[in-house]
Amino acid sequence: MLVLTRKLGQSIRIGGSIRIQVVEVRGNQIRLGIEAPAEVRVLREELYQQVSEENERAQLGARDGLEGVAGVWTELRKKK
Amino acid sequence: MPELSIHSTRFGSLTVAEESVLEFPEGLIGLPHLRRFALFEPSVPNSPFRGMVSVDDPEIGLAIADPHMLFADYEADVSAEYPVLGIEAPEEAALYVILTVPLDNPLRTTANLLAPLLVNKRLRIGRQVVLSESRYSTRHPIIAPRQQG
Repeated sequence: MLVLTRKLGQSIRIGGSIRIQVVEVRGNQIRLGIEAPAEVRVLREELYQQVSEENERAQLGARDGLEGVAGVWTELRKKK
Repeated sequence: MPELSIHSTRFGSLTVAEESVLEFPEGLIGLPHLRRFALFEPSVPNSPFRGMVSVDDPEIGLAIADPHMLFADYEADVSAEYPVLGIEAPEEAALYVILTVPLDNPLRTTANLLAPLLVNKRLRIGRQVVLSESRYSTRHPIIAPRQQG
């Protein structure tokens, strides 16, 4: 991992279109400002991991999974 | 109309119109290699559910649904993402959520309301969007516990 030291207000650039600036330092919390093109997904690591894990878990073992949920949901809806 | 045949041990053989293939240029989150998916319908007619099988790896499939049919009050403001997908008018946009279906009990299916799939219906391209500052999680039961029997 590349490690750089920056002071408050200083930035780094990644490629030509991404800029990350240290906006505030308070104790062990650092606020970063990020400028990036709209198509670049910027996420907190924890959120990325959470969605990534759910995408992994959601993979169907078989077509029956889809048939099962569509069946029970449709049945319950009729009863309402 | 050109068709595409997909053979999968898990999902059987599917023949879909090529124009029903959806492309996710960046893949899904954590699954960047899966870019093209063929959509198919369950045998139950008129349901909000669809299957999505990877054209690149036909053993990988997901169940998705129209979130507004499952959660009447679902609110996801994804309009900031429209330009990324070339969506020019709200009518061109479709929203789906990915479901996690437990193999042994489909009543306990959950929906990922935090990270829906936004689709440009005209260009057939999509992107998984993580809602920011959202009250939603990745696991909302689609059937209330009292109805699960």
